[in-house]
Amino acid sequence: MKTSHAAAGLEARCVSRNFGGLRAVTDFSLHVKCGDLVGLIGPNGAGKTTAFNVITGVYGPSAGTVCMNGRRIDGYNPVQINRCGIARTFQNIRLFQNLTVLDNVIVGFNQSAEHGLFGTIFRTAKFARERAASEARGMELLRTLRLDDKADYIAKNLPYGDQRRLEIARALATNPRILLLDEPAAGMNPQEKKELMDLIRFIRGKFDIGILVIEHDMKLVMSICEYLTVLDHGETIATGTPDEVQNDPKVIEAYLGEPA
Amino acid sequence: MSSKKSDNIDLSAHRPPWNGWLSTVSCNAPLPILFLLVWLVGTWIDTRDFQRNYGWYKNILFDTGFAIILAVSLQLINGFSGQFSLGHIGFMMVGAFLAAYPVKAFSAKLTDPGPMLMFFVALAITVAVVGTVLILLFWGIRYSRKLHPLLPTVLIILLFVWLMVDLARAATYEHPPARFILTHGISGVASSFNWLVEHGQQFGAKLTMWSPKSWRGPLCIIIAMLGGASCAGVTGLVVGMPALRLRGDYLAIATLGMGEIINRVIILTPALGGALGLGSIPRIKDTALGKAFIDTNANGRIDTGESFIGFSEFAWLYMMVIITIVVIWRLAYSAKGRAIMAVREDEIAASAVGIDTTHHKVVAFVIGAFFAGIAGALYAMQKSSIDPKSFTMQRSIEIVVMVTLGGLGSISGAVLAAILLTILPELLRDPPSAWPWGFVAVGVIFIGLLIWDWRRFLPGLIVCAGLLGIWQLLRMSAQRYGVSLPDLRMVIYSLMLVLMMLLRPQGLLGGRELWPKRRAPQREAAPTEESRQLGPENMVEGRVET
Amino acid sequence: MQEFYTFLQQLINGLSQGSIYALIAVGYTMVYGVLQLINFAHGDVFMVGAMVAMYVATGRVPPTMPIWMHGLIIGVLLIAFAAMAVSRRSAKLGAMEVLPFVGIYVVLAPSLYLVGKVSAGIPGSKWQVSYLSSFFVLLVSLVVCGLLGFLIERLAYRPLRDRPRINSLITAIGISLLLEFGGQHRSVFGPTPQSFPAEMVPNIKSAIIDTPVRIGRADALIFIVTIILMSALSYIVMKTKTGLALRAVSYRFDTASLMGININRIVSFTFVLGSTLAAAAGFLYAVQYPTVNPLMGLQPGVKAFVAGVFGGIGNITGAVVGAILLGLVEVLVKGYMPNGSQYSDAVAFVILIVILLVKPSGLLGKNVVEKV
Repeated sequence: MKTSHAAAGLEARCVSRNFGGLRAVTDFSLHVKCGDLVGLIGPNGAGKTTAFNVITGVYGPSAGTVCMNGRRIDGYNPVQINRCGIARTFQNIRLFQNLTVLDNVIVGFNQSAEHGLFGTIFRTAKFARERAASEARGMELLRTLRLDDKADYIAKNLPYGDQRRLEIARALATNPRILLLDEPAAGMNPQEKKELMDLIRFIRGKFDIGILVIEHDMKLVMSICEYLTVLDHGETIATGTPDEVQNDPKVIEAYLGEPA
Repeated sequence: MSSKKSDNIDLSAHRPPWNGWLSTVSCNAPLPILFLLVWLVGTWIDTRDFQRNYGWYKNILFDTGFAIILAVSLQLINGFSGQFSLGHIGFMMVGAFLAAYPVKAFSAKLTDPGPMLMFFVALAITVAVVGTVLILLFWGIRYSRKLHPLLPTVLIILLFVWLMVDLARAATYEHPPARFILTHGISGVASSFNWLVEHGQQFGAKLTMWSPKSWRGPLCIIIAMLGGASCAGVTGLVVGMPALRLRGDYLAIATLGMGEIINRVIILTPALGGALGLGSIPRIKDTALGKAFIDTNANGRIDTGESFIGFSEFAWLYMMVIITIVVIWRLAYSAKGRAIMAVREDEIAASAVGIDTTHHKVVAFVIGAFFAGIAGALYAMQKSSIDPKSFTMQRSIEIVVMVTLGGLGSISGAVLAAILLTILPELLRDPPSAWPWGFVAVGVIFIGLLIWDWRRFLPGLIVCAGLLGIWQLLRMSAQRYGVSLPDLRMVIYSLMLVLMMLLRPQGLLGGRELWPKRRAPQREAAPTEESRQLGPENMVEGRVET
Repeated sequence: MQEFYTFLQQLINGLSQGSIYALIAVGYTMVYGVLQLINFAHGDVFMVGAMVAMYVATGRVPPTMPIWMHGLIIGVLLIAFAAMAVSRRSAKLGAMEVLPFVGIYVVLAPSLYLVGKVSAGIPGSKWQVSYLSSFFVLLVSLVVCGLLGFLIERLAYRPLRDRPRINSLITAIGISLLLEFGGQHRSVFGPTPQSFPAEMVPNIKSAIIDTPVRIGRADALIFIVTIILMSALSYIVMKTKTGLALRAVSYRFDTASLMGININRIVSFTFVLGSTLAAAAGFLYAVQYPTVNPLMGLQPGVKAFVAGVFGGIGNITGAVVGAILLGLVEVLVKGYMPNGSQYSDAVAFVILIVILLVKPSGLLGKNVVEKV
């Protein structure tokens, strides 16, 4: 399942976003290549969610550009952004509650389906093949994320940790190059967080995709991310490896409120 | 933005262990058998024997057929797509009137398919032109937002007022002078449409000549049905597009309103019969093939009529019932249906997974409206006279009740509820006794379930038994105290609705189906070598070692 | 000049039409603001108001009310009570829970009979032409409908509060159908329209001002009653504690309960207020167009809801503004457009769709039960 990507990945350049007079994000830049594990952190209200929303197409930037593999994607809507190879998860889990676990994952394959309305109504051979293939590949994905024994469960009946994994599985089903995780560790205990860290590393390796994590939990972020960007009040106050950022006085001030 | 197709997952690379065509054949093979069955029953129904002994069942059968088509088509919109539409009868109305008009105007004995076809072609052209103009207008208004945020609202209000004033003042003149642009525009559209239709007639007559004589009847019916249904589908598009921006309760009221608007528009169109509707619509049974030939004449001997084996009204209707159920079932339990349900569950998440929410919501409306239009067209050609006043808001609500009673998201539930709710008023007219056969049936089903899976169905069975008991009580007390239950039937109906919402809101089947959605999927038994090796615990420092 | 006077006359007609819509629309908008529920049965409460007023005014009793009907109602109530008991297994079943069921029986079965009988005995009330008798009729109508609104909420909407919205919508439709069809049964009202004795209001047919435009006494009555009721409503909503609680609940349902507000009581209160106003609207409508039939609530009900959405659902001022505008537009269309009277009803829907597309929050914004 490894494919080589020579791509430049996701790049945000000098993105700003204003809401009326409020400057939520100013001059934000970020670069995620395939195989990277990048973190975006900052105290509450720092503008992380806004930056995230700009990248994922909830709204467009007031200034600056967002590019994927060199092609501009700022201003695209979420569907188009997904088609460009960017997938995301949600902070408060947004699964398709009343569908089965397998169905949740399989919807991700819809883009690749080539049988159209005709195939659906007449149940052509292509439809049957694609359906079997979707299910097979979906099961494989679930197996990879250790959810295959629950494939027929209704999504809303899953325990919390499984729901998070399912959301990631669904995002992976869309065959992305870049995966954006929005506070994936929210509401988890330390054991679950450790499993999540392993999972994130595993995914990065197995699927060879770039992962951007937004998190509050410093420990998690420090241990898995290779590169960090720190936001505060909409501005980037530090970038670099975890070690560099940890000792940066501006970061310490932003989080603890006083110079170290 | 290029599509990802080139580097998509190659889904056909995973070859299932069996040939895809086998599935196609096995899915589609039962259909001709079902059609044959329907045809046979239809033939029997048309015999005089049947008319004599069971004639009064006929109405119930037809009403049930229409109800099933309407309920299943609405299930797609309300249940699978989650858009609460209260105006479904409007689509049926469009189908009915726009099938009845060409049939009546151009093909009095259902013998001229050609001119009818040309009518629809002319209609398509006019709608395409007008539609394009309106779309351009809308885009223009939307882009004006860039100049100033309030501009679209102002423009729309101005346009509206201009239209009203124009129409009002032009009406005061016999021949409105040229300055009333909008009125002239509207009448221009109407007259060019008429022109198109007239000039299409000759070509249409030629088309008729080309078609074999015995096919003309069925061709007329098919063209009327498909034409009416397509118009209903276009109406579904018109209704579905604004519906995108509305949620839940607003959508309900908006669709209710649109149903009423459709009703008024048809009343206001003199060609479609105005307030009185259209009468003397050629009936299916009048076509050369519309009657079965197997008949017994007065002496009880078999009488071969002048026509060959025909296709009765019943057969047409129930064929379409089967087609509706099959098509909507296949649509709902497929990739597209999954996408529609995903949009229903969570629009934001769906768009994050690459599903175009607009497209899928509109598709649900269009297809639902299309099948409602088919029901309408058949209704017109069976009842032979249609009247705008019979397509009321109340009928819309009745269909919504059917869909909800059966359980949102369940096709078999909608069918069941449609049958139940159509039969119920008839049952109440002359209430049969639930004893003994009703209880016997319940007992038999219970024994059958003991063998199968009683745990799942036991609560439902108990409820059924309880309902039968209540039915008996009501019946006995009604007889004793001289109440006519038929008078009360609508009260009972609405009471049932309220009680059901309070006690079992998920409907009869709770969103599940009576028939399995597919054969048990053949999941790949053993994990592949790859996936076994690459569990998270085998990871080394973030990169796979191979 | 005559044209101007005609226009002015249309304006006055529109205003009086709009006032009736306003009284109904306020009920819709308050319930929506508090519960986010479209109360489909509200138009039928309006109808019940007119019907009750008619019964009291004519001192008539319903044609027949046989024993079995009592039995049926009691039976149904028992079933509903059992259902409620089953669904709330842990809750206590005290007098508070039984009372509504008894209450609905009181409303449905003998109350019409009772009131008719009682009013026939009170001097000055039975079809006597006086302001006092009119006021009495209006009062009874207000009380009965207030009670009805309370009961509908208690029995049909409260159990479904935690469930998805579509269930409440369908229940509302069911209650609406129940009221309509129940009314059409011959032992309650019967399907044929009956006439309302509008003459009990003195000189109702005459006009206060006759030239250049005609303002009839009926119009004046409508204006006066509407203004009085709206002022009362405004006082209640803005100046009393309950009104404050009502506004709080319409802002934020969950938080309001954390502030110590008894949500159930406030919701009941809202329904009672709204239904009372609808009853007044029913009375006024019956005075203006003196026929009453069980289906009369459909059109005005839906139009009033459209007015509410037009003005901004959840906003009382918006509802009033929207209703008056709607009444004006309707009358103008009827008067000036070709074939206007045939589609003046549809105008409401066109306005609805346009406003939902252009500015779904209505003219005056939403979600705030604000100043009247």
